[in-house]
Amino acid sequence: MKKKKHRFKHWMHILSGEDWYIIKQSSDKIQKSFFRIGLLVAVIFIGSLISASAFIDHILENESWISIPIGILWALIITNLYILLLYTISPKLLPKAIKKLKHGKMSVENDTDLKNQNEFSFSLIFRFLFIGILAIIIAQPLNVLLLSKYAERSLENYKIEYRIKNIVAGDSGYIKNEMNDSASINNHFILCNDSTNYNLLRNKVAYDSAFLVSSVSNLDSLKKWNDTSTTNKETKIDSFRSVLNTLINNEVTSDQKYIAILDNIKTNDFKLESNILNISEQLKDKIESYNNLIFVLNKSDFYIKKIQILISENPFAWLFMFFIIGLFWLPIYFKYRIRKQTDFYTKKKEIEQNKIDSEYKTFNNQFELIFKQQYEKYNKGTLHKLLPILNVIEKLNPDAYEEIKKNIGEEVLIDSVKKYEHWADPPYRTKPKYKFENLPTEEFFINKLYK
Amino acid sequence: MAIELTPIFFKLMLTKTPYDYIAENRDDLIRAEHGIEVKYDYYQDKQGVERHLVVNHEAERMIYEKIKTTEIQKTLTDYAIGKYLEREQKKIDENLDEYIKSIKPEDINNNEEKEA
Repeated sequence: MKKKKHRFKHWMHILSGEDWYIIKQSSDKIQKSFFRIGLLVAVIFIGSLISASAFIDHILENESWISIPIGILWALIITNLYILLLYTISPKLLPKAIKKLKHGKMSVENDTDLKNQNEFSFSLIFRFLFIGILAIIIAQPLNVLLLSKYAERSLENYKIEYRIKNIVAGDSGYIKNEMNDSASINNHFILCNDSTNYNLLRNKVAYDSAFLVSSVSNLDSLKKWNDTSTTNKETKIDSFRSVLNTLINNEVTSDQKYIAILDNIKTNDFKLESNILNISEQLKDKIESYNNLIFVLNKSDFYIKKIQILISENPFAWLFMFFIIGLFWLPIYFKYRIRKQTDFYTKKKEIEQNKIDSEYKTFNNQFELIFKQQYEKYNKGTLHKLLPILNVIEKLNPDAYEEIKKNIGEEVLIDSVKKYEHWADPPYRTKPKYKFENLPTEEFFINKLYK
Repeated sequence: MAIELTPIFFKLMLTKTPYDYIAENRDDLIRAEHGIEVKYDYYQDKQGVERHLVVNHEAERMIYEKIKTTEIQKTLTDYAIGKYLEREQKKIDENLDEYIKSIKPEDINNNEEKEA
């Protein structure tokens, strides 16, 4: 149990976005603070996992075998981004030179004093906003998951309006065709003296035209009321919606009745039969398109619309979103508190600098060793190439021979390269070396040492 | 887009870490294996900005060897020319007329053409 607890603590320290081996060397108070940060990061991971899985589940219509792996992947990406961003919140610890060109001379400023570092830079605000955006993205599917029942009524109204708009738009085309075809059938009824069917058809066309005019006008009014911001707008909108709904239901009933009438008309006239069939087919198409639209509307869960409705209507959705944003920002606050109240970063600075310095020392030795080996090779090569041809001139021109030999001897004396250091504090390169030219007075020297 | 851009932003946000110093050491060692040395901030350019100087020790040694080889060859050539001059001087001192007769006009013309 103790081992498990210890392992859990270790994982939380890893998730906190700081080096766990430095946290391990710190006090209990610091360890607890980083444990809290790690715990919040774990909560963010779980939140992202639920959010992404719920979103993909809705998009792919309850395919949980794919939504869970995608959710895990997304949660890992978000958590990874978050930990990286959290890591960048740490103060600058290592000496960093800010080189500025002033009056043709290079000046170097060092800004590693932990207390004097600018806390609210543009870069930090940008990171805050970036984390906030991540939080907003994560919060939306969770909002739907928790509060979707509060959006049901508005969503139902939206569906009705959507259905009405689409039916009216589709019907206008059908009704125009119906009017054209009915003209020739009416002529036939007049010739046959069939006043009953003539009246039925005429009434149907008149009814459909009236439906079209009335529904378009009601839709316009509905749109206008939707755009206004008066107090009683909901009642008005509801009444328009109800009128339009009744109109459409009546239209559907009327179409079904008329199809039955047309199916009962019997004639030997092929042209008339074909026209009746046309109208009947069109009405059937119309009803089928109604049914298809209703099927699609019932099948879709209007996920994005739900998010929109919740954001625009439900204050709890906003509260929850702010809670998530707060959850994402809280570890940053904890990190700032650690910076202000503990010596964690001072210790971290010390450990990192020691590491860099020791690595640099090893590097310098390796560097010299490599060049020693290289120069051994170069010197051997030089002597191998030059000595045979130099020997030729030994007797012919002893003076030149001696001079060139001496020169080659000096050249092959170089047996390694020492790392060139322009700065007084390698490898950070922030402090220029003191130049011992034009030495000032003794007083200046004493001041430099003791003040 | 977030996945693509975040590493770039992250790198921009990041200050120099111990890994960067270690990576710099590693790069310098790789260069050293090829005889290349970088002298950081070795000189200032015309604007006063400090610049690194890259020294290729192997190339410099090769240039040195070429210079010395040329010097030795020059010494040899000078010696040969001196000896040739001595021989010709001796011929002239012994019999000038014979020497003048021994010079063929075609050789002079050929030499002039070659020079042209």
